[in-house]
Amino acid sequence: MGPMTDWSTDNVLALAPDSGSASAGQGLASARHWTGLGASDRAIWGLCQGSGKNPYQTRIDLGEPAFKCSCPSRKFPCKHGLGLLLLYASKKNAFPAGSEPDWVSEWLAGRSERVAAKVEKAKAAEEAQVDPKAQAKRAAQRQARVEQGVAECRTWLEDVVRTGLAGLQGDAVATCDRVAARMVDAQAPGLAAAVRRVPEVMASGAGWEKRTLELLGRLHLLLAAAEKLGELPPALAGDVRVALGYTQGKDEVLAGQGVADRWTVIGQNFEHDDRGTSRRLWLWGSGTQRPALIADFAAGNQSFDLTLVPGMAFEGELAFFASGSPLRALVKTRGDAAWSGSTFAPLEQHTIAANLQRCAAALSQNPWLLRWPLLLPATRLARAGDGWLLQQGGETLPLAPAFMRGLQLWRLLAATGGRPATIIAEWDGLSAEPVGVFTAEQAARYIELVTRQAA
Amino acid sequence: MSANVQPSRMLTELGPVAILGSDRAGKDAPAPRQLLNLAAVAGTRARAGRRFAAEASPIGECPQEPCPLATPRQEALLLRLLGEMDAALIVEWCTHALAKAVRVPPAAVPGLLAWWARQNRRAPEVLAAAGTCGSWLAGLNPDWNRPVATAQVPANAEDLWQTGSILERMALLQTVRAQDPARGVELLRSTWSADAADDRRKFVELLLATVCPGDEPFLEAALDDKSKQVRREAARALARLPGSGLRARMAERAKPTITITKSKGWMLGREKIAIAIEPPKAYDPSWKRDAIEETPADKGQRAFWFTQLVAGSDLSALAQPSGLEPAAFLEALSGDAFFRELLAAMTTSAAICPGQPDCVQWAEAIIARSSERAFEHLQELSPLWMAQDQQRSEALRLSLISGWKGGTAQHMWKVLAADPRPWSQGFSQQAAMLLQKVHVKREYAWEMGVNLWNASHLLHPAAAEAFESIITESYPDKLDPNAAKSLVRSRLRAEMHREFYS
Repeated sequence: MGPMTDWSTDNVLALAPDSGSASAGQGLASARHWTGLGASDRAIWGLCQGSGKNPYQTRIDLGEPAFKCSCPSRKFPCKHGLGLLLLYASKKNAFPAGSEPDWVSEWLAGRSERVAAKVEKAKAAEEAQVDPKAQAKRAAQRQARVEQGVAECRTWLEDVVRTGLAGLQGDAVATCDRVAARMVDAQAPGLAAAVRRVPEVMASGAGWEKRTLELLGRLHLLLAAAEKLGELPPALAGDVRVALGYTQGKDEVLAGQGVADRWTVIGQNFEHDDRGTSRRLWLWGSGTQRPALIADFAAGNQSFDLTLVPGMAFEGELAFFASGSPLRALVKTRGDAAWSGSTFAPLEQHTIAANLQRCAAALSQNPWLLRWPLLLPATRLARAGDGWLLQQGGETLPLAPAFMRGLQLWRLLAATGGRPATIIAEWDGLSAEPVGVFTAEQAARYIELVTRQAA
Repeated sequence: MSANVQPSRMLTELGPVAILGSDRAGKDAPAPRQLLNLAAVAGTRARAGRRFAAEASPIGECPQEPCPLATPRQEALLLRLLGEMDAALIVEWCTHALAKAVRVPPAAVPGLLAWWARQNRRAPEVLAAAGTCGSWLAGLNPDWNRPVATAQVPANAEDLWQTGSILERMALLQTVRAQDPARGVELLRSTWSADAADDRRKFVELLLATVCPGDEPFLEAALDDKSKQVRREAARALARLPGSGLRARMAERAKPTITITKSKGWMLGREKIAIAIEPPKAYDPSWKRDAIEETPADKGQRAFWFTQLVAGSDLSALAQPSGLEPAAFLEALSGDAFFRELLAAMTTSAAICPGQPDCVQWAEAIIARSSERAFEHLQELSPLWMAQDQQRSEALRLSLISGWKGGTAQHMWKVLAADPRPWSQGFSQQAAMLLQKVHVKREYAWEMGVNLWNASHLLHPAAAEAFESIITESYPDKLDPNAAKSLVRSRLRAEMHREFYS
């Protein structure tokens, strides 16, 4: 993976942990704030006078990019790091090529050591785990717990349909929370999440009983599959295990065969809970004509992997998690990244019908898929009664109610000016939630509709 | 029920069973496990197979705009200001954008409009900076459309006036007054006899800000209103109207309280003038109609009546019998026992009626006389500063401050911030220099913080660094919260200035 050198202001700003840092970083993106600027083939560095006595030492490993600064800020990257990279983006000649000062080279050396140590440690842990007896014992314990959880969930589920949803309505949240907590204890977090979704769907307005029944049916299907996990073909068994909440080992995935293509990051969405933020990055392979999902997590104020941001594309290999319809993936190998425009395959492959067809095919293999990415060129917003929908030629798609309630709808309208654009949305089987848009107007720039910050 | 039934229809049929529960849904109802099986199949099929054909009505496209977009850095600043909801700075950003003829990038427009629509005072600069995209979006969003529409008088104004709520009627009156003051008065007359006393008071209060000669007959009649509150508001409005009958009556009453004795001087036959203040000895019942209060809250009765009379008079009318210019008139009275009251009352007169004859000369004379002992009136003086042109106001304030011996930083801040107009670059720098010399007493730390906050949006951005060093030097240990806020704001403004002008 070569260092990415063609940074633009927009791309750097996309790395900022919040708008305050972005703005503060811009304030420092001018050469007058810096002394001792320099660049080597793998890093840039500079000294910035802050409020302290000694100037801050700011350095960036261009390979990742990785940031390090001697300032006390807890933000990551801090404003100095952002400022330095912004300056680099706009004025490369402000950075004379030179040999790395000690405080840069030592850090870089430390970094590669740490990376090596991490690999080492992981290996050691793996070897420690390879005690086959202990491993088998742990696996058997978990399996027993999950089986018990599945049985309990089954009893509860059948109880609910026997006594009726009306009976659950009064204290759905409390009841479902209790059941979900039991599922967490039983080491089946996937079941817990499914149960927690029930009260939300029950409160979703007209037609709620059909949607709830659909959800309960899906849960039932999962329980039925879990009950005969041993008899299922491996790919399907993998999907069932993921739906139950088993994690798949990343090393195992990375060791498998990669899918080579030109991968474009077409959009992202975030979800928050009290531990932190999970991110869904949606990718599209222009040769294979298939989507991929890279899911990651950042605790608290931590930063996400900043090498993948919407709008960029790279030649490389993705390794897919085992599934009946592989979607979730990891980056296996990666060539130089470049900023992509919104040039995707011909429209007929991205009609609403083609998108839904791809989703249906995926569901036929893995009915527990929660979200599917829609890549919709030449699509615009149109009115439908009091609400709005997506329109592409003669086809339409309903929009998620939450999307229409918030400012995102208006951001999409403003960004497109009511004209057709390439809209990226998440599809949950009922409605679409647009997360970003490529407009032709602003030099094919990706405009984000969702933000990382919790509302 | 078979698996061949359309999945969505099957879900519709199973719905009621699920609500009631299979135990209670009749003997034909499927058993729980069977119900769940059917739901699993129908649900999955429905999810995979849903296709949509809704009636869509196209919307008009946003017209293309020729003016260039704000830079990403300018946009990031705006987003930050919106995050901090600093109304003054958001409006300032928009003013800069308009001055440089750049528009808010479309993706940032909804956030800006949503903020704007929540404001009590909706600055027109914001909508202007949002450009064509802003007006286009506002046309599509009823929440944002309302504020745009109030700039125009609705076609059914007369009906709305008859039937609207008090809030609607006040808004309507304001809109109508802004375009056609006389029509506003017509509206008022049309329902006056039926309106409640409290509503009448609110309406007259609204006239205050836009009072004009055409209002006088109406307001003069309102002096005979049944309600004391209405009478008082009407008198306040008339006192603000240059040349009104009320002001003339006030001057006639005030004149006798200032006695002028002229005598032949010894030298070169020049006249010698002695002026003395003799406040009224008794309350004249005829004053009641002009809402002159009889019973004071704190000071002596005579001084209380005297200040009310002077505050409602044209100052030139008071000085006219003496033939003295404003400065000389005040000089001649400066030793009088009632001079302090006179100065306060004159301040009020100039402040509420800047349109009276020679007001600027009077303002200068009063300001020059406002030594430390008149500090309690400095706040009232701000209309006086406003009546000057900005350069003159700044020069006067600087000379006032540098003339003081032993003035504290608090006093200086009050004078500096007395004029609400943004400071010029030169004034900002000189003010910062003066303030740096003043030692800040610890017990004033809080008050100083408030003053810094007020100054932080008046200050010219070029003086931001000097301002910053005042703040850090004034609080060597720990910043007062207001001082910290001021520091942030001043830095932001400097940054904004750089982003737009360098």
